[in-house]
Amino acid sequence: MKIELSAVEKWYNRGLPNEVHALQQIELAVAENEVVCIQGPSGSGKSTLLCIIGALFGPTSGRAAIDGRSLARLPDRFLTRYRRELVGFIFQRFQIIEELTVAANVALPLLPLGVSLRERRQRTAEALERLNISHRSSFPAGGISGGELQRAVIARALINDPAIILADEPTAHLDSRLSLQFMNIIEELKVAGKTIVIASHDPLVFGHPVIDRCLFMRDGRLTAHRPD
Amino acid sequence: MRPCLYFFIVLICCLAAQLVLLQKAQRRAEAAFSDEQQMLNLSARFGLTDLCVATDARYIRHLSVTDPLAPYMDHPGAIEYFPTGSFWVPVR
Amino acid sequence: MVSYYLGRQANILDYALGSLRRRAGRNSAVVIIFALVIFLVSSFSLLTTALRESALRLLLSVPDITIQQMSAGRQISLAESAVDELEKIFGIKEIRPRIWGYYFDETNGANYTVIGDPNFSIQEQLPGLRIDYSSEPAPGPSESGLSPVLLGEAVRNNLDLGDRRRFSLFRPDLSLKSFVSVGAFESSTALLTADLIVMDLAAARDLFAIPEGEVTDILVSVANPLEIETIAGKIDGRLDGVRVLTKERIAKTYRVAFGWRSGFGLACLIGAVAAFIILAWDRATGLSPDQKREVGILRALGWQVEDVITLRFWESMVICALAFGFGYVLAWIHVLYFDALLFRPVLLGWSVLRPPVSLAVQFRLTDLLIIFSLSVLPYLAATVVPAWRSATIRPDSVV
Repeated sequence: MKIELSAVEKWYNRGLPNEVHALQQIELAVAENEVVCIQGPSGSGKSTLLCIIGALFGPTSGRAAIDGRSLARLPDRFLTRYRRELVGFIFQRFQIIEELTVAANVALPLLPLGVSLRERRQRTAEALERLNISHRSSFPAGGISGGELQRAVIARALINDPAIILADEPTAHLDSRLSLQFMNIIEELKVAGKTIVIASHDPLVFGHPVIDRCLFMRDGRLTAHRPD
Repeated sequence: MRPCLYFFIVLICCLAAQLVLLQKAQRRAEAAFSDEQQMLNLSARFGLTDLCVATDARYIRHLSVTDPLAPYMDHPGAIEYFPTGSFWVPVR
Repeated sequence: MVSYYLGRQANILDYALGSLRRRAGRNSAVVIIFALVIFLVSSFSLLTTALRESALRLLLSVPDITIQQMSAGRQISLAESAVDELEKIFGIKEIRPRIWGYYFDETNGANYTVIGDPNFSIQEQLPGLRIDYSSEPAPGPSESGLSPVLLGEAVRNNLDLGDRRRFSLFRPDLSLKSFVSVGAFESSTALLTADLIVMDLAAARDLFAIPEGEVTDILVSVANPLEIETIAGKIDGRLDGVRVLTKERIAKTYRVAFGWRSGFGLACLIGAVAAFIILAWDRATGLSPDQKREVGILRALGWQVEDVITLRFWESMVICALAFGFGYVLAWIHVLYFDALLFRPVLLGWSVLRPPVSLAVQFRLTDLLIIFSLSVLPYLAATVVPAWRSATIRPDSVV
């Protein structure tokens, strides 16, 4: 899947005293099966960019297209289906339901799909096994470590075998070993043909050989070179 | 077993209990048939016009042969028989 | 396609059950209180239906027409000579004057219904009547002053006769009149006869000091049931100041007395109001921040709006189904096995005589649907609007 952003702008609270110009004239093209890393400090607009690609909300102006199809003016139904079937989003703040078990959290995207109980359990087990947290499957998600939680979130993002992976600071709560393990998974996903966009300021991520291209984000602007 | 099955099992148990109760009610109704025949005969023989349930006042005991003014005719200061006076109301 | 749909519903129901379990305390309270409301409403409905059906069945054989004399809005004695006027009306099969009154037993505050029957005989054999010669022989003609009577079960118990058969009641002038019990109505007929004292016409006239030539009412049987109303009209025209009550009025009384517009029906509606209050309380508190966050996460993960609405529907459906299931079954147990014990104070009020009210309970689909409509449907319906609002929470709200 190709990702194209053209002249994308995003304002928050426009016209109000607390207005924020989060994205300014963003031009981005991610080829199919490309792994792009977006570096930048906190508040630079990386999360907003990923949210637009993931159709969590739309841009204020400009065009966001997946495989040439614009996401603008699509009804909520289609955008929801796009998020469910084509996008695996790894949120920065996990966005996990603490009272549910790890397995139940991972299986959340499968519930409205009519997947049978057996298949649901099988796919969940495979996802947990892949991320090496099968031993925590029946634990409440609120009672495991940050690193394990991060892996649970990654497992949840991958359970529907999405074509696009969007990761927002995926290694924020991981140690070096687990960060490298995460990048190994990214390598496998690249081999599997996924299109991947990672927002991170972790050197273990943007310095990894699997990254095809690094972009830099500052004050809502995206550049190919690090701004000084 | 998945949670929804537990839920349906509980519902099925309620339904089964209800069917048992219905059957019990049916058996009681059949057993009461001869009693009802006796009561029909007595009703015809003695001209019994009302069920004997509440007997605290005449206009409550014999609801069908009294009228809504009856409670006022007993005594100007007659006390209302609550709750039966509110629940057993004569027809106009 | 069907398996996809069922699979989706089963998955969402599983999640709904888990969601309810996570707030077990609050949801259990709602189920319990809702079940209690349904229990009360259903018990009332079963009881009043049973009473109404019993009345309509048992009172089918009452005399076609009852005639009472009215004066200044009160019932007074009726001249027995009215029988002569009635005999002139074509179509009347039988005319039976009687004395019917109430005796207030001051020793214990009980009211007895006294019937003075013109055809009373101690030799009469009737099903439902138990002739009693246990400790004393039947009174012979030489025992003047002792009037034979038939007693209802509650009267017999209240007079505390035991093995005795003789007792006395006060006349209006406070002199005593003596009676001897020659039989009792079977306890299985208590629903009609529990408070009865049946005697001959003369004894009743003596007890109440009613002058000769007067009775309290006249019972008329008609040859052709289709002519009851016509003959009732003729009677009304021939006798001045009488109230003419037909069998249909008796049926109407019990249809209305236990209908949904009666005091009993009002009690059921109050139960429905209580269900609404529970609903309002449950819904007024709205979604907690945690619940909103949960919906945001589900939306972000690809749950459609209708998936969230389905989730809310199943949450409400589980509560309603459990409450209705438990409440309705408990109501049947309450009425069938305990004779609606909780409602006896309402049914019997200040009555001193407490006849057994053992009823043949019947299942009626219409009553079930009414109870369902008054309690469960409003609760379910109220999930739609709030669920829609919560389901449209923006997915980016969690980011």
